[in-house]
Amino acid sequence: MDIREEQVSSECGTLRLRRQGQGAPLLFLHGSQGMNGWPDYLQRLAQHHEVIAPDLPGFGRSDTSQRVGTVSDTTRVLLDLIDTLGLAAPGSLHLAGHCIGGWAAMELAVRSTAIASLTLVNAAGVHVDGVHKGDFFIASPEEYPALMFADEAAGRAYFAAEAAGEFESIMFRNRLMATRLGWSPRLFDRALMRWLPRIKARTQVIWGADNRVLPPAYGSGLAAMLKATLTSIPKAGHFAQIEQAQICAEATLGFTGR
Amino acid sequence: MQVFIFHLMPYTAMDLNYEKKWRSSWVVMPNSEFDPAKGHELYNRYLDELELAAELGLDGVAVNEHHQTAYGLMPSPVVMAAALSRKIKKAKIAILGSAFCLRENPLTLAEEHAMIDNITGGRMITGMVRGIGAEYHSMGINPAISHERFREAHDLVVQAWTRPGPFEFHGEHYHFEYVNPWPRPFQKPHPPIWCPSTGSSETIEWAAHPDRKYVYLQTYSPVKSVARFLNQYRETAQVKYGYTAESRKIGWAAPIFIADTDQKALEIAKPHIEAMFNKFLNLSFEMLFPPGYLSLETARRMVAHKRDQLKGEDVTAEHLIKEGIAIIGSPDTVRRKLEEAHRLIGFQNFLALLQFGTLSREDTERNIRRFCTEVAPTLQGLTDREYEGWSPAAANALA
Repeated sequence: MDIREEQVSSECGTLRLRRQGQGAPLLFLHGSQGMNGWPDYLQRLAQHHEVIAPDLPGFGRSDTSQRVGTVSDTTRVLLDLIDTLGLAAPGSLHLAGHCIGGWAAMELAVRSTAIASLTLVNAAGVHVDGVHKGDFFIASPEEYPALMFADEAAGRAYFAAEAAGEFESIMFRNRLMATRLGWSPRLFDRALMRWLPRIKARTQVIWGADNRVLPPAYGSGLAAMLKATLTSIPKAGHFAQIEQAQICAEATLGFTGR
Repeated sequence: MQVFIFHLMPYTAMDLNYEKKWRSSWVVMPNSEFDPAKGHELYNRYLDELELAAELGLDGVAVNEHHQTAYGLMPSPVVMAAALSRKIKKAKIAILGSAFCLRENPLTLAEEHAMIDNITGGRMITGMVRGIGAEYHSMGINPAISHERFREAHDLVVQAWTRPGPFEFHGEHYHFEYVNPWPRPFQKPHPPIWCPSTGSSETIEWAAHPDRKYVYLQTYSPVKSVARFLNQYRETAQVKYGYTAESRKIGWAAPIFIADTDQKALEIAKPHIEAMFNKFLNLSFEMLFPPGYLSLETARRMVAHKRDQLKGEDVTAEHLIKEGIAIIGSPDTVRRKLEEAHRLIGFQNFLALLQFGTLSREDTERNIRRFCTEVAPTLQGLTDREYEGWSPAAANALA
């Protein structure tokens, strides 16, 4: 299936967007490390949905804007984007997000009536007391595979493919943008936590059982805050949708009512 | 030339084999490794060392700020400066520097510096630094906004020292309805501001700007780089801003060790200077340069070079001497090297790091006494008359 790439203008510069498949639209928001490739997980979702995946402002091939310094700012850009793309009809848009993209997805669902369903894969955005997180800011890129994957070898293969070619320099932009958004407080926002009850869309939480960045207690904690279904994925770390693409895709599709 | 003693106040009792357990002596080394009984001994010893150098006629004593590390035990150099400010009657007291931008409220530091300036009757020197990258990990400040916070904190502090209060200040990061610190600084318009750096073009251009003309201080660098960066200050002033920079606006900080002979000095200093560079100053690339700490372009360049360098072999004392990063030898050798560097670079401030790494109380005291009596007087006599003026050939001659 073709991956269709387009550039969309926004108040915060140009956003690079990719689409695949047909059907009810599903907006996927990538995580803190960006998304250079087009993973198997999205290909599976695209069997049943029109998958739409923007590079978030400052990440990948989207412009950086001085206006975007917080995930709330990112969310304002996304609110404009779903208007621009004609995706804002009430209860029409399936939304999924990973890590910092899951955080932005919750912010979006707090504010927008367009969201039909919300799937959070190892989402950042909230704090769980007494649970130590893995620090990918102090880790070197060589340490990413062991930190972020249950299977280090799978992680090495993933990051090698992601970093191929010109993307090497984009990784700097991704790290910088993730830092701007998530350094302190570290990957969460108390205001978001206070406003989670505004989310009306049905919500599920998918978590890697071996997540060393946001440990499983974060998954159960977030599911409790959202009163959401929790699906634990064995043999999966922080990149559960990469390591267990089929299981994660089935969990996602089981929930979007494809 | 003004000659200072500079102290880092390292935790000399650090387990030098820590690398089996922790990756760095910064950020992640547990503070259970710190023994307060040792701390009590070290703080008092180090204050004694600074006071001794002042008694022996140096122009000033300098302390600095580092957080959550065995490398330096001065999270608040203000405390050390305050402790020194009554006993030291003539020498200047330099904080090189305070990381104003690591504070949520930089005004508290501005007040403290002004207090010491009042106590000492105007002998305070204020260094302004961003803090090193590791401190953005340990202080929870976002490195992606480090540069802008540094500049805004600077503007706030200088205004607080110079503008009649109360006034309002509303920046991007700092907001006050009433800026009106008591006391005002003793010196007019405010304590001299120094900018220590390991060589950043952005810092040099900023310090040399005609609105500021701050002292630029090159730290721990091969003497060739010292020449390059200090000349860059002069050139920036001349070419970019159209004024001639005074030699008193540039300075150099380097570790110094003196014994009877070059060989003897090397023998004594070797384990301690190597501990400083290889053990106390052991930082990963990600600790040293968190995202945004360097501009994107600089960061991309650094990854190519510094990353390999950081992973490389430990440095040796012989290498540090050869590169002119540390000056170790007989009084004659040390004097000759510094005179030669001054002849070619013309700096009018020199800061000697006379204790480093694990160097003992006895060795440090001997080093201080020899430096202050056998080398410093010669340096203090050096003026622009002994400076040859800048030329590329002269800079290369230092290699």
